[in-house]
Amino acid sequence: MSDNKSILVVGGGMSGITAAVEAAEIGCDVYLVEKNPTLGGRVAQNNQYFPKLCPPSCGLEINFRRIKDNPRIHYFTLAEVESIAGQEGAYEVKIKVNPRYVNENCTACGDCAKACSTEIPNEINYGMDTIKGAYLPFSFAFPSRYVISPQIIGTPDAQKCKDACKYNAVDLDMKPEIVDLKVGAIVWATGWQPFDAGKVEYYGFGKHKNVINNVMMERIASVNGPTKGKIVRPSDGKEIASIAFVQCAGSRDENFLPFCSSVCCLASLKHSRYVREQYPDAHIYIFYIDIRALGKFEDFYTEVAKDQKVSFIKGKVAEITEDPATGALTVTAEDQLSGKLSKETVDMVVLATGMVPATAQTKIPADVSYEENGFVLWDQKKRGIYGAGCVRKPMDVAAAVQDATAATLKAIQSTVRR
Amino acid sequence: MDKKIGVYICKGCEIGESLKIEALEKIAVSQYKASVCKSHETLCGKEGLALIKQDISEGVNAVVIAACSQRVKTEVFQFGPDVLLNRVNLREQVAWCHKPNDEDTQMLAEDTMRMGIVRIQKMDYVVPYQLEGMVKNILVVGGGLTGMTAALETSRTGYDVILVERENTLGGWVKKQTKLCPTQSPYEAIEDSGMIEALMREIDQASNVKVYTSATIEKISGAPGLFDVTIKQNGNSVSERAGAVINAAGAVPYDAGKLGHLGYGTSKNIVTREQLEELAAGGKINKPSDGKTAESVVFILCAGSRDKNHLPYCSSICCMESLKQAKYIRTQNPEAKVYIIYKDMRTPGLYENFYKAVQQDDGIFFTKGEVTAVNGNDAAVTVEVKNTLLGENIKIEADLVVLATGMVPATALGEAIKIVVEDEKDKKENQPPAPTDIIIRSNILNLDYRQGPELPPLKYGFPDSHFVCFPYETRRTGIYAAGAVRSPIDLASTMEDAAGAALKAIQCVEMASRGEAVHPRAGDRSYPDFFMQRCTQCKRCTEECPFGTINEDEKCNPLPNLSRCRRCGICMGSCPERIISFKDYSVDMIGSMIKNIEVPEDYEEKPRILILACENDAYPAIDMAGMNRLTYTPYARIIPLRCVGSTNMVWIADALSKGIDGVLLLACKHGDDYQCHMVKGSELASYRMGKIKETLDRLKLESDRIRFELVAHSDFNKIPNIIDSFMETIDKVGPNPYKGM
Amino acid sequence: MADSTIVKPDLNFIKDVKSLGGDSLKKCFQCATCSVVCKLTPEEKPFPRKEMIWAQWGLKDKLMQDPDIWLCYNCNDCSVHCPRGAKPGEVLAAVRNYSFINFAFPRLMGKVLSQARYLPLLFGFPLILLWLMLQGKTTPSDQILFRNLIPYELIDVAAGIFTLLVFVGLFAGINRFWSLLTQGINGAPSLLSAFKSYLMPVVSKILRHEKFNDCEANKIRYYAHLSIFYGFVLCLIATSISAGGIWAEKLFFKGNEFFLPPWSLFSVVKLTGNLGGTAIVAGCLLALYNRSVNKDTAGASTYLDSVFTWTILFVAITGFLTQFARMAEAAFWAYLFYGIHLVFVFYLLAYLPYSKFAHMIYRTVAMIFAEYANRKK
Repeated sequence: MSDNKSILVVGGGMSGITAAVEAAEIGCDVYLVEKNPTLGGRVAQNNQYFPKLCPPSCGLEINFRRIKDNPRIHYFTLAEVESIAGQEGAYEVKIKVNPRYVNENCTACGDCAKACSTEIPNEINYGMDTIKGAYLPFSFAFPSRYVISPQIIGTPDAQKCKDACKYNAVDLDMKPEIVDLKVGAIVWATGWQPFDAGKVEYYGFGKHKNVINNVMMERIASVNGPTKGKIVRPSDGKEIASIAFVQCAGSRDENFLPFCSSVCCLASLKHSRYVREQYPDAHIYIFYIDIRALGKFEDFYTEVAKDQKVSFIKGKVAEITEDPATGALTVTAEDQLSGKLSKETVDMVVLATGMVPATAQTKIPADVSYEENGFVLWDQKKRGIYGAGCVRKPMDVAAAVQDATAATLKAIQSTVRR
Repeated sequence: MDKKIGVYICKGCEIGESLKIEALEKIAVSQYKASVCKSHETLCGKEGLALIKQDISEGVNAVVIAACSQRVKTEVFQFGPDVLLNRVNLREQVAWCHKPNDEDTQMLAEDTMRMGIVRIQKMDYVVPYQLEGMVKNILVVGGGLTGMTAALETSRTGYDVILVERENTLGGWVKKQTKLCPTQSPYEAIEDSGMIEALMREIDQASNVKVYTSATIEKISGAPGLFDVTIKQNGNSVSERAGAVINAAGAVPYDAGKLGHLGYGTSKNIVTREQLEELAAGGKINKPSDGKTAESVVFILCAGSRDKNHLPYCSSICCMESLKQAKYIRTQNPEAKVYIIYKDMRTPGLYENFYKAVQQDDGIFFTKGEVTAVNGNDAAVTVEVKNTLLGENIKIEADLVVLATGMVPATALGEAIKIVVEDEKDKKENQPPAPTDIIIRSNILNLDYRQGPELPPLKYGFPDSHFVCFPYETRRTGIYAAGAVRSPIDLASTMEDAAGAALKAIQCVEMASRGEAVHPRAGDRSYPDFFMQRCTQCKRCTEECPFGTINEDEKCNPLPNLSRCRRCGICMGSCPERIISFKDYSVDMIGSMIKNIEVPEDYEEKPRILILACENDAYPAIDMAGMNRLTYTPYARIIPLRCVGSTNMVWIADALSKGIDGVLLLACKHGDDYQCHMVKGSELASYRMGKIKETLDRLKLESDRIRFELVAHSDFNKIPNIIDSFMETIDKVGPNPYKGM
Repeated sequence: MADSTIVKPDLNFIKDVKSLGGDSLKKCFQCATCSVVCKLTPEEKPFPRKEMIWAQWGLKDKLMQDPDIWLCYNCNDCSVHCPRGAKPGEVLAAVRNYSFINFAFPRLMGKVLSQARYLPLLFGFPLILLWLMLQGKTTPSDQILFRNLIPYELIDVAAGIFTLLVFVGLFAGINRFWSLLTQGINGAPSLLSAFKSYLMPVVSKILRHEKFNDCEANKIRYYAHLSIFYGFVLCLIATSISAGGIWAEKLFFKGNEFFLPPWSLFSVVKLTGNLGGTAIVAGCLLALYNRSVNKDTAGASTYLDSVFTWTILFVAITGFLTQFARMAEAAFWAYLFYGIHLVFVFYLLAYLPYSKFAHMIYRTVAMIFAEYANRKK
């Protein structure tokens, strides 16, 4: 069914979904490959988008509908690209589809999850809570089909799941499958990973319980997150009276990520709004080097800055200490405008950690150029495979969608060139 | 074609356990005369599907699936274009969120069945429109970096392009730059203008790009696939037909004449970013006052940007451009001292590398700071800065001051107009007019549209999208803005943006040629029919369509342009005469569904409320409430709408006259941060409900019976409270007096 | 805005600081990580972030009168954590280098000491001096007695003259420094009265090396410096006793060999001296090793640093060699090493006000100022 006019999109996050639907609506056949059990990627884990504070699931709903309605889009979940051979206009790709242990009979009724007693760390919530070994990642998940974690395969629990299913949807004998595809061009949109803040010793991330990173903050603020949307201290579940945001936690730092991750300033501004909505009196401190709210995003910054209890302190935090008795944290920075050290004791600290391109770790199995941090380049001499979204450079969601749209056009050009 | 309706009820997923299926079947067969009605344990399974397909092969051509939500199992329940399909949600919105085997739950299920069957009865087969003379080429307005890139990207994809540029040569703003900020990894070095020349050369050689320079757009009329464009070149008018349009008109520098507080105008040696570029183009950068070498140069960043008295937004490129220009000066004169006074140094992403590289220069001095005064004359200028990083306020004696002026989109320049319909009745009743767009006469596209000649701008005159997920959303179908006209943007992003817009334009012509709607109802082939005999020329549809679909003739008759239509149904909601219908969505259809709700006369036991829910956000939220097994009153009857903006007032009247006690509209957020994907649907619905409430008051019907609530997709946890608290209000207000009449 | 200062960047200053070891200074983008990770930074007036921007802007005057640059012990915590690789620790070290070159009296000496091309000249001078002193002498053949080669009186007289010069040079330099430090402070004490009031607490701090010990990134340097510092103190004590003995013999106990070298290896003088010498050698080797192995944390070696370390090391080593040769009764070698030893000692001490060695004095002065400024509050 696949041919040289079709396009392979790798990564089912915002960029990948965009690439897939934009190409398909023009009239191309598209194969969308996602390594997780559902589409949606990183944005599906976000609570709201800046600057509108609207839920990402709303746009995903439309995009999922576009996928459902479009017979030209073929998607694979729990799948990865094994190999790519050939060249622009004629690629042969092997896709490995990992077992879900749940087949298309699944109605998402949830009986398997009821039957399963094992709880596994919930990766969607960055391990802040647990989830059943048989689960539906999100209520709005697409495909709306349960997954059985490989962690419970072989345990009696797996059998219990199978027994509980009325629709013969649990198949514990599923094996990885290889799918061969012929495509004319490839859009690579495997996105980004949050920078591991544990590498920056002086923040105590992973050591001090109340130091979290920005992606965890998204989950904490999400109504389907580990705290049902209530922002509380991870150490003891207490409400907070003060919170500090530490910008450039690893970004713009040659020891870690030399580049600016572009979105963290706005993410923290947004988080300050989450906090304010729940705590009208909380003190919010934002420690920064430069606030980077470009274009009309400036309005959002201006809006947050009007809040009397949000303090912007020009100075990077380079020390966070914990009071072991109370779990309170003291953050230290030089307030450069006063020229004094600023030490604030707060209930919680959010590290504005940046983006590491997925391609820093997992390279495309083909001849593709990268810059030094692992971001994919659009190399004029190597056409046919195009990075899209955050594998190309750090960017916000709207920019990723634009970028994916542009990459898709390049991919289509690759299919018409020969 | 005669309809043969088959109704299929699924008993799986707790439906069978909580509902009396035979009673539902009886409704289908006895009450609604369905040709076939069957139930199955697992309708979505192989057997269940075979059952349906068998019936289809035996003549069933309209299928009602009473099972799970329309949002799931869509790939399974697909029976081809010749079979009408309607989904009745007995699972997420009935079995999963209401008491099993309960009388009220059963009544809810039965009403849901009734509505579902009536819906398909009122549905007709969609035949896509066929329009004559459709073309697939793309018109690009503006020949700068954006326009040239968009043109080339389109051409490389195999589509013809018409490129129109106001000036006598292509190149636009970038061509006036001596050198360019880095556009390529590692983003460290200033680039020469080779890239621009290469683009110009390629356009020159491309056989499918037709270039008009010294030309402007006199008029664009028509619709996607059928745009008739009048181009004015050297006094002559040329006609072209284009399939879609890209507005790449770019931006202009902010008027430095307004920057008196930064000394502009007091000294020849206080110049703008653009003027510095001109000086650089002329060779040596000297003091304009006396031609002597500038030894001390101060760059004032955010000159007029990020300033509530001028441009409140950040112009995005001035930091980078100033870094570049600082290097110009230092390269020419190694003894020169260059000061950069910034608010925040904004070199996002990998542009950090450029900042880093320029910092290496011994003679460039950076500080955050606020410029408090720029004093001087042609002989000497001093710049005073406070809140610096040097620990004190400083004063710099400058030979040259460069104001890093921001950018203003070309679309922001011109007279702002609002095209309002004079509604005599409204005027008499002192009603506010319907919310409509402001259009700025920027003389770029000169659309021959009822709704005004240009793209409707959002804040600050940018005709951008308001959607994070859909940055290429446009409110004039088939016309896409790209580049600096859409947002303050750097060079590399401009080129990506142009390529993206090119894709959207190509996509639009392809979809229009197939009779399909573009985003957000992408692929929808239904379209509005106007029953013109009954039209009263009230002009509401022409005015309220958020996408400018409908023109008017001299007698104010609506002239729909089908390929502009986005199929939201807002026109249908606006029409007081109810003359606008889609084959599969109409005032009559929803009205009939409402009329088929059984309303018990006995209120104390059985009140009824109607919920009209946006199918993209509120409806999924209600589904998810069910998935999370949240419960709420079983007295509510839910109808999904394409957009709450398609709500016709007659539905409210139908519901109330039927004895339904209240109507709850669940719509998306409107206002500045609107989430309504039909842009104005929610706002228009809210406006109409405001009007109907007054009507109700006059009729001595409590206006509390109508409620308009904003629900986001993620608000599933709030759904029970929203519905139940409305129910409580209705309880307080009491039964609808029209009940049983 | 009456209180604004006209800024006049000095491009040459930037070049000089870069060449004196601060070549990374322009990389700083003012995030102030350095001011926080620094264990020595005072809360009210943290450093080195502000020093970095002053240096970047070429604001020489501000840095020359900034005592804070001397409160830095170049432990490099800041350089290790600096996100831009701007190495504030090294920039401050470079500024300190610039500072004693700048304050040098006569100024020319600062320049001469800071440039490698003058090195032969600087060593040539003591060699010539030695040669002059040796005029008419032949290698004594009997018992190896260094006083037979050059009378101690001669050495001590020479030492006295140069000590005086050193003092004059130093005093002039630190006086320049002091007047800049106290510029604009009403009622600031004179250098001497400040010394009187605050020297003791400062010396106690120096002896304890307490600030130095706070550093984390570069612990080895702490041990190396401690070792060299106390080694040097011990050698100073040994030399003083030795000189004291010689003059005691000359003035009070004529002919009493007890007061004259050579002493027994187990005498106090010898024990102290050898212990000191060992400490110096160990410290220097540790410092050199650290610089070659832990390039990131230890910081780069500048010319001034290297010359200083190697000079101290050679002073100690030639001291040992002299002693060993004497004990082995290799007269030629003993006298040769002794001569070389004298040359290195001369280099170390006579050029003290202008070499890296001056840091000891300038830092002391800065600490005295800090002590004064603190008490004033």
